[in-house]
Amino acid sequence: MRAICWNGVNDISTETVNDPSIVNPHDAILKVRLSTTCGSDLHFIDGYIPTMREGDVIGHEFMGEIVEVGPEVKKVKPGDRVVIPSFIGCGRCTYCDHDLWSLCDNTNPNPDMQVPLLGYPTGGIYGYTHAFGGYAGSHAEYMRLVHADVNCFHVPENVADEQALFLSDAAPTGFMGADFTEPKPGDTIAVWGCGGVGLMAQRGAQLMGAERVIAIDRLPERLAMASEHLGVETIDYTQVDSVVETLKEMTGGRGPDKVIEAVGMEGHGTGLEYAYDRVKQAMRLETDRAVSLREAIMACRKGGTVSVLGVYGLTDKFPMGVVMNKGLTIRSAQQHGQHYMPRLLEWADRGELDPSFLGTHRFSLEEGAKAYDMFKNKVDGCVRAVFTP
Amino acid sequence: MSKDKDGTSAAKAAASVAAGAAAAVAGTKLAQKVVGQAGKALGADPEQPNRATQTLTIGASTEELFRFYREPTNFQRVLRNLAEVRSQGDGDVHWKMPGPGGHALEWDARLSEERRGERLRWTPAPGSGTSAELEVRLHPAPDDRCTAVTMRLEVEPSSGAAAPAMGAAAGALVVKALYGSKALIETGEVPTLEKNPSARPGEGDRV
Repeated sequence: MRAICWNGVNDISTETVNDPSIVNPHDAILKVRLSTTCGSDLHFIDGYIPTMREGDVIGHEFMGEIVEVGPEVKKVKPGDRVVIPSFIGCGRCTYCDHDLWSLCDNTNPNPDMQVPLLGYPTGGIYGYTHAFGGYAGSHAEYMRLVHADVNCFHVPENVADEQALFLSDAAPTGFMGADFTEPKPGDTIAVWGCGGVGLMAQRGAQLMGAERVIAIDRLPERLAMASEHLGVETIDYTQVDSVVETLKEMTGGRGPDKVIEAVGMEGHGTGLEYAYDRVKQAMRLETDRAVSLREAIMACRKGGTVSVLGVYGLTDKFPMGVVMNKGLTIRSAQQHGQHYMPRLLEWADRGELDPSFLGTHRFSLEEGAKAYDMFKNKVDGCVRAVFTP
Repeated sequence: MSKDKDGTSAAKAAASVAAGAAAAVAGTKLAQKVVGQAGKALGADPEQPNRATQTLTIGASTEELFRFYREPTNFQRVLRNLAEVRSQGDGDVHWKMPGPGGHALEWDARLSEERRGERLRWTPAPGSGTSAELEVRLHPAPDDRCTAVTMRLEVEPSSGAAAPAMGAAAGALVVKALYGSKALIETGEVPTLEKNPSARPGEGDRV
């Protein structure tokens, strides 16, 4: 079959690879109908995250149709149209039992790679680094799904493929980030980043009851999406002297009650601090340009909550004193998609959640390199490149 | 054989540890330090870095886990294509695992101690080139029906490979064995990359 593969830093191509097959009894084979790029792919494409291997099939946000199931699969069958969270749970360990699905103990084939880096392994994920499991990804015609019964969610008839696609990662990650802030009536929630995850965090905050949502980015087309599709207030950080002061002004001097950071290690910014991060990252002296994370921590009101969705490695100059002295609560995780999926599908079915506007550009698998180039460089207002295998 | 292209020492260390090829990057003092740190995190003993110990809580009783680890074929099921584990009768086992520098380590292990529901210990059989001792200790965990499993592996290769690299390789094996057995017991299967599609030549990835 054809698949988009990582061959090295900034080297993506479409290759012929073996078809997947059932290996374990709870496996299923999916015919991929749609698969999309994610900002976190850029971290290994640009070489900031280790343990990729030459020839890896990438892609972790997807939906499709089941074509084959293993002998122990009971709840899904060939022909089912399903969406699958990118992080894989087993449904049996203590973490899955507590709805902390991305922390699953039993789905990462390479726990020995993560223990030295994190202390304990996370669950596995499709189409990412080998430390995170090394499972072949979704930018392919077919893929092997593991523990299919607990990870496949049937897509209701009312919900189109394009809507279901983003329930695989952008929506559950964004909604989890909003949920971490426990939105209440009267709350103002500021969200850094208007990519797929940031926009979904904004929608999540709205649906969960926040009074005001303020989005921060620099790209006019993404800020327009936030205001036009979601009706949130926006700040273009390149057009203001200080985001922190602007937010203070907008909130009567108090600051946003809760903040969500949806940018990650390759954030952009302005001023001296951004230049410092850029140089240190280029020299491999730090892995992260944490401009937006530091700004979010500074902007948050006293006693507020900082929800971190961006992917980070080793962050330099982390303002722990600000966190401590302002009594902030930090919450973070990779997505626990299985916990959010039933609610997301209900919202989508009722027409209250339609993330299909994120898919700004469509490509065939053969156009993998071009699609990633447009996505990375945000050419032609590309928010997400969607592949139709 | 494919290689990492991301160019960071952390990446090389992590990938090599898991591939059992730690010595490939252990040529310099810095690389040895990185491998040593990885080994320490994987349970290698700083005083005796060719020894690794890790503990994991598994959802089964001490009695069930005693029976599980007493049967050598279960180590083979858990480690899949990472190591060869062959029963030689009476609890004795022949082991073959990748060692530092890409050289395979082989040894015969004799089941020298078994206390029902508590402990299993295999010591080197006479005549083994490599000297290796494996111990599994079982303690009832506070959670109902769970057991804290402590696994200790001490490997002394006859070739005299660098101890930190040996500790990292032993640590990787112990972590794989513990998490693999937890997955098999709790879910009925071991997570694996066998037959994993990729543009690399060969039949899927190691485990």
